[in-house]
Amino acid sequence: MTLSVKIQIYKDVLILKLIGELDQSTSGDVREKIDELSKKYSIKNIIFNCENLIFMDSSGIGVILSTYNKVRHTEGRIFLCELNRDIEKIIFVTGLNKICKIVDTEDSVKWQLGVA
Amino acid sequence: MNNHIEVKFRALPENIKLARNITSSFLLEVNPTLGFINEVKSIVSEAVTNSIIHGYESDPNKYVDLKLLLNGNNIEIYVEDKGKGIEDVEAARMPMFTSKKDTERSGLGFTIIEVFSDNTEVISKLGEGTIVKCIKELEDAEIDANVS
Repeated sequence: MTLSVKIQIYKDVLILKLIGELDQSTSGDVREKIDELSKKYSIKNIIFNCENLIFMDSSGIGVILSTYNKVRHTEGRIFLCELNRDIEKIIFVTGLNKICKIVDTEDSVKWQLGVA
Repeated sequence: MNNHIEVKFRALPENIKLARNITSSFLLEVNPTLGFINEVKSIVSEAVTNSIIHGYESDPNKYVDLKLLLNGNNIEIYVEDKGKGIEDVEAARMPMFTSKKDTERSGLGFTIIEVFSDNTEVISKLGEGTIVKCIKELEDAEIDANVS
């Protein structure tokens, strides 16, 4: 398996723990899962935990961008946490840090959103 | 160190990861940093994805060529397809440009390729295909290694 995703939902917060590699072969499934859960649970804010994300390319950036475009209509936000150096590099190179909130730990985002 | 490999693989999304893994195995002999390997993997991943998605419009019966050359202090990366070609290379290289707007692509593939390469050349002809050629200096890795 190239990518597995662990999902948690607290109130209107969706947490996705990405484990493996997010590229063209895995991005479609992640996008569909986010769409499905967002509708079903009226999700407002989304947290991507990247602690175990080994690789991400522009296909993965596309997933985060499209997720951002959906949540911003309801004033939701995207949080990216636990970034390793390589993932952080891709995020800054593509400017994703300008539209997503970069946070150190998942716990600190949860605390911020009142779901800790 | 001089070395050279060429790989031909079907235009399947699963093979993007394969291309990345071949690339990191090829690079291991020059003992680069993980950061350097990851940048080259990013270049390969973006170029191969472009060939599959855009060049061949995901037709799995077509083939992508990956060529890696270690040439003294440089690594040269060639990704070639015999697909539909790019109409306007200059426009395609602009950040956020995408020919597939409805599919929510980021349009940042070429941006990533260019940021991580020291030199990028895109040769494309409509109806004939595209070659992406990148050069990256190995020195970058050595400098990194000394710092850390």
